[in-house]
Amino acid sequence: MPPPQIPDADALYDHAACGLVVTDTDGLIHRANATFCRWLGFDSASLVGQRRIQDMLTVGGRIFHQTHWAPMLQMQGSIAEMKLDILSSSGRPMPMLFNVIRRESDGLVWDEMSAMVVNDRQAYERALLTARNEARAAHDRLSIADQRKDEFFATLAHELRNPLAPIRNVVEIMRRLSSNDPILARSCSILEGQVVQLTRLIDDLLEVSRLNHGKVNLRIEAVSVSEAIARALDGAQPNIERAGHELGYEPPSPDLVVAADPVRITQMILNLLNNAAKYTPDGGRITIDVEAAPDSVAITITDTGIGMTSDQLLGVFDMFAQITPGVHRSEGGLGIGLALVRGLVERHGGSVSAHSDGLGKGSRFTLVLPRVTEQQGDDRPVE
Amino acid sequence: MNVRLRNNIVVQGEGEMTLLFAHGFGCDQSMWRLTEPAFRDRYRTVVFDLVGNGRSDLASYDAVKYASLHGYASDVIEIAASVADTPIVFVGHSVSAVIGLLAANQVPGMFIGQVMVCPSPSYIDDGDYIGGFSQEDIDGLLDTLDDNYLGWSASMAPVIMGAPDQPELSDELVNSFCRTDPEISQKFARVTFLSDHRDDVLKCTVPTLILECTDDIIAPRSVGQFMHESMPGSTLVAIENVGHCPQLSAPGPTNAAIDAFLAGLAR
Repeated sequence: MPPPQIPDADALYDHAACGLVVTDTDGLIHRANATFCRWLGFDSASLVGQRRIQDMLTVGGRIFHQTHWAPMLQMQGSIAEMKLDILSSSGRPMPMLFNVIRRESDGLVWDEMSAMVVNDRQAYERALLTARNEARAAHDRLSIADQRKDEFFATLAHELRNPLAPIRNVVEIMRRLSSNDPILARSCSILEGQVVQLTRLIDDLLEVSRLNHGKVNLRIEAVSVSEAIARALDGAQPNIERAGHELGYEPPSPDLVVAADPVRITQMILNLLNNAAKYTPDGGRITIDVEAAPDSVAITITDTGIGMTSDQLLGVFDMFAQITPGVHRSEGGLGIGLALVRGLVERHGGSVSAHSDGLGKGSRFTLVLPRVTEQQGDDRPVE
Repeated sequence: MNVRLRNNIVVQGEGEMTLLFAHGFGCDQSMWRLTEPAFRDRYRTVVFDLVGNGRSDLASYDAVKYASLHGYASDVIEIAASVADTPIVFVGHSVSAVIGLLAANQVPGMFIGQVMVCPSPSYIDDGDYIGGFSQEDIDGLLDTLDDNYLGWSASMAPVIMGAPDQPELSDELVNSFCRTDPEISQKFARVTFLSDHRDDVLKCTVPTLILECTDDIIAPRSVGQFMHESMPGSTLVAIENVGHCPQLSAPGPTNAAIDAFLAGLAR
């Protein structure tokens, strides 16, 4: 008995694990292997010399054949991974993935193609497409909801702000009338402090809403870095002193100049300083470093505070980042301070970054703003 | 945006006339690779990519502007103004034949002639009009486009253009032509195959050559006949060809027909 042998080339061709078809350049089938015929329920004789490959496609597929398959084959001599539904003998569409190569010999040109049935892959890809479309629809819905939320905050902030002015006036009147009553005087000063705090929170809310709507107009000018830091320190000093923090700061010498809105740069530094004071346990240390690069100035505020995990760092500049379980809530705040800083510094063409070695290991925030050198100082464009 | 960059315009040759070639749905200016070179020794030739195709500036794609063929027509008007100081003959394949028609109707006198290669003003059957397709057929095409993300990475990287003259590349099974952003391709397919510009054909006053193929599923001969009858004075030439791109599969007869038309215009 002869030893078993691997089938010859013809048998391999006929029964390959994929459909193999040879057509002329008009698509007329000249050879089709048994696998291809079996998959589609045709006998070879009803295909060879009888049908063109494009006639076995759905109508949509035939259009695609004309707009993509034919020109691509003509131009690049091959086609990779083209998926088309081929109609079986019963008319059922069968998704197939084609690779095609155009060959030429002695003036004769023909196309060789292999085809794989891809039912599962098709189902998977359709599911992916559906998921993507659903995700997009969900994203659109969320965007609308987000916009409504912004509008709500803007309205809310305006509505909350309106009663504050008369309250402040009344507190002022009460303070004048209470000079002889220590209990009333103290109550007035508590009220005053709370009104200031409320005003600050509401101003932050308004500011965020303006930033989100691109309504913040900057008055860019050449600003002294040491003066901006000094103004911010004026504002942050009470918080730093109350917590007994030590402050390390040497004004840059010579002074540096940045292109910034003088009010906004102070607001950004003040926000970072207040944050440092807030998230550092009493008796900590806060340092301010200023470093100049040719085109920019970096202002870095480092604290010895509670620090952040790498997860917290990722979203630290996102809106409401502070409203995360486990993070101090006792100090109050809306969690929009850092989002404001980022929004403002980006409008300046600068950046802000955060670093922490982990919980309990302090934080470091670096604000980078465009530098103005002496030569540029006079002709800096004003936004 | 600079029009030349937006539409990846390539100008070659010199001559008394400018031939402005516009590709159809599915590919890009490389569709003219066997046509344009045959004319650049006698004419000024201009090829370009419709926005969203080939190496056009994808960032210029505006879904609202290009939601109708008029958006593409306004680009053609800008392209014509930016490149030509000699009389222009517009050569449009498939949907671009209609785009050129819309541009010509909008700016009379812009073109001294137009060559419509396998045009169709409307693809869907409507009463006596046989466009060749039903709405379901077009939906099937859109599904096929969804199945074939030929340019799915094109939005992330510069479009890879093949080297048609380097046959060694042909054995590498890589789709280097016809790569487009899949979403733009979907939108362009809708605009192309769901539009109806039969009324615009009636307004045409430009001397016109209509080239049709003898076996073209996308623009069947009934449509060629409709175009011819709707444009008095037009010339209808049938090219013996299977398919919708005679400029690629039958360049000889295609170029000869264009040549004859241009000679007639020159007279």
